[in-house]
Amino acid sequence: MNNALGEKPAPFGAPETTATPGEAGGFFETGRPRLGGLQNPVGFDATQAAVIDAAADTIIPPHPDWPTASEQDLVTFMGRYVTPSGYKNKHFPFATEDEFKAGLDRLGQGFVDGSVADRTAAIAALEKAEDPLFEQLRALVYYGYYSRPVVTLAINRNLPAGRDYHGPPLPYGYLQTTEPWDEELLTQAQENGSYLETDEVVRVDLSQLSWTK
Amino acid sequence: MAAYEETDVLIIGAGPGGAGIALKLAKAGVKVTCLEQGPWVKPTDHPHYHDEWELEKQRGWAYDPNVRQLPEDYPVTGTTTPYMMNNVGGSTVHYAGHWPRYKPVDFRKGTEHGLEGTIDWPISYEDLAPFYDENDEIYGISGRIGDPSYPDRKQAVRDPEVLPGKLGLKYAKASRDLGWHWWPSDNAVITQPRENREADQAMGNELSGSPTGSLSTPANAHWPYAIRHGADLRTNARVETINADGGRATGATYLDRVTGERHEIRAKIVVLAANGIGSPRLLLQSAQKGHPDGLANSNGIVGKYLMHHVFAFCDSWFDEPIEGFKGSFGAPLYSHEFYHTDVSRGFVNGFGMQVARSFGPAYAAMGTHTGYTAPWGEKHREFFDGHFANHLMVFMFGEDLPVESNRVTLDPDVTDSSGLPAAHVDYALHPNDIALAEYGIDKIFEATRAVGATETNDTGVLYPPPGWHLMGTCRMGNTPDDSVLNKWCQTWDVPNLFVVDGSTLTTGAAVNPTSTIGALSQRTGEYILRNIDHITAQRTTPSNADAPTM
Repeated sequence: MNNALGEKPAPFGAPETTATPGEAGGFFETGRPRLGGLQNPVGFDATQAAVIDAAADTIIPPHPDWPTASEQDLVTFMGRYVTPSGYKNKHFPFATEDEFKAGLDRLGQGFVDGSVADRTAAIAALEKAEDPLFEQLRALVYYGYYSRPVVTLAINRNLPAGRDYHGPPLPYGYLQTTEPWDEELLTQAQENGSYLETDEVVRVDLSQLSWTK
Repeated sequence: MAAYEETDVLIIGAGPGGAGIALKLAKAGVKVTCLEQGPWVKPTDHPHYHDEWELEKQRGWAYDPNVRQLPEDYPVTGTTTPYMMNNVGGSTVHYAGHWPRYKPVDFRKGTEHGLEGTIDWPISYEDLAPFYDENDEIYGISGRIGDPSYPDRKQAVRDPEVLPGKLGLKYAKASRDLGWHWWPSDNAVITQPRENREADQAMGNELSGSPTGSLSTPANAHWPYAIRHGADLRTNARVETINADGGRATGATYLDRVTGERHEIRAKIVVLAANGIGSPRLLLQSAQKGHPDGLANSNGIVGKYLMHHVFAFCDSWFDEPIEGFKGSFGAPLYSHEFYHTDVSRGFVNGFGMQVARSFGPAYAAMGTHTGYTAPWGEKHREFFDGHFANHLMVFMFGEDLPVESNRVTLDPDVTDSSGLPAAHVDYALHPNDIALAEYGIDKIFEATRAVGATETNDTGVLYPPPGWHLMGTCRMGNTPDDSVLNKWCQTWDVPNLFVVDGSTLTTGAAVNPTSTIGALSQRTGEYILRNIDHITAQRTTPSNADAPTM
């Protein structure tokens, strides 16, 4: 790992510390980000964790037929995908620990204790201000919530279009539940279509081109 | 002890351009060495077995190296989203595997209109046809013979076509009802097992590769066999300079990215196959005595006439299940109804309509392909429930004109991790291409609305276009005044230096380029094999008329 700047080594799976462009050999000396995010997630204090849970329930409100977002441990999920303090912020969702926590702290206990309307207003204010925290929270809630196996089961249960969805593409695939071709339809496909032979290609009339006028 | 090693044929880049040549030559007993700046991508590197597979598409499996930023990647600056990978197999390791061929007219666009930098190819469809077949058999291609929009290709070997699912059947019926052409796609996805490769399981997500080997790439179709026949594939070997002396290439100097050591390797013939951005970058950074503006660039054409295809993504939603998460991501079908030039439409060239799959629920929530992000808050549940897997995406991609100012140069300020200059791209959409794309968007929605789409959304003409296809920057041509390469992919300036990849393509057609790159690789490999002594003795590159034949 590159430790050219004298900073602490990255934990396994985290982006490496890198120099700025033009220094110490350029800026692409990163490691491949670990599948699943950090092995040792960034930790949040109790209030920050409560803010995350409250934000999750504001972004995806509880519904009787669906798992509740705040019960899906999105706190740990977010901790796995936030860039730890001191390391270069190189990978989606491009959230650094310090700034992400500062944003959670700004929302604070007041956000947790607020009514649904209050929390909705607070998230809407972040969105309107184009605060990076808004997009980071929304993306992490969407990606986190919809990656949980219990949510996959709810999709199977609640949505006709999602009846067969099973989460990760493998090992099962969808070979057994994907419709095959209809032979009559394939026969009909032979009725339309043509091509020019090489020696049939001639100059076209360029005076008809709309963009030259 | 010599300070350098020697080989017969040195190949730079282990993607489709280099792999076909390496396999052919190695099987014939030629000493082949390939330098690849990236590693092998292992099955365990893929996200397909992980709950977070959709998020991982934005990280280590991001299409754009500027976002992904793996150690083997290099920066590409400018107006571009270059969707390339740098590893054994090249960018095919994350492609959809769409496998259409060029049509005969695509080799004669100079004759048809000659707009901007458009010239005829120095070869015809008929010249390339047998190599398409040869190449297809090596990769493993699924599909159906008999498309009336192509010349007969009964010699092509095919696995059974991939399953259409509700999605494919829906658009097929739409095209049929409108009296349009459509046909099940050829895909670089095997539906029958091969040695060390599992058949497709209709899993989707080939845009993050395939850990089972169902996606046909040089990493599973070529290199294991080339190595078995003696090819020397060196990974993490980043070429610094292609060396030349006395008008001929002598080999290359490369850096071992693991040890940091610099090595020189000399060769009788050098084949550059580093993609439509990487190859001009390497030629330009190989400026040296006798080649002050870069190697093979005495006419200043290296890097020019970059083509990407003009793109628009078109989403349609229905009040019924479409289940786009099912099925091989290779297109189930395409329509070439509007492929040919019809100037009454106001533009030249044409476009294909390719029916694509979708991904999972996070993809639906995050806005599918067109940024139609699910609302958060009280409207979220209703929106998600009505949109997830009721969605059908068709992408319009059309032929873009080769424009001289669309080009690859070296960035004077940015470097990769080895200190080598980054590539820089200038690319602007041409008015002809914009007119073409806008027409295409309308036609796609004409079809989906005809079969019941209740809601649509599109990206408009994408700028910069998604850079899946990197073409034209070292193009084949007819004379040293109009191109970088002769009809055998030899550089006009340096007879024993060949370029075979997307940069080689004279025009882009309106189809995915990899099958054509592979066919050119087979053809060039055969040419080198039959003429290796002649090429080794050449002091100047012969004209197309004077070059020895097969």
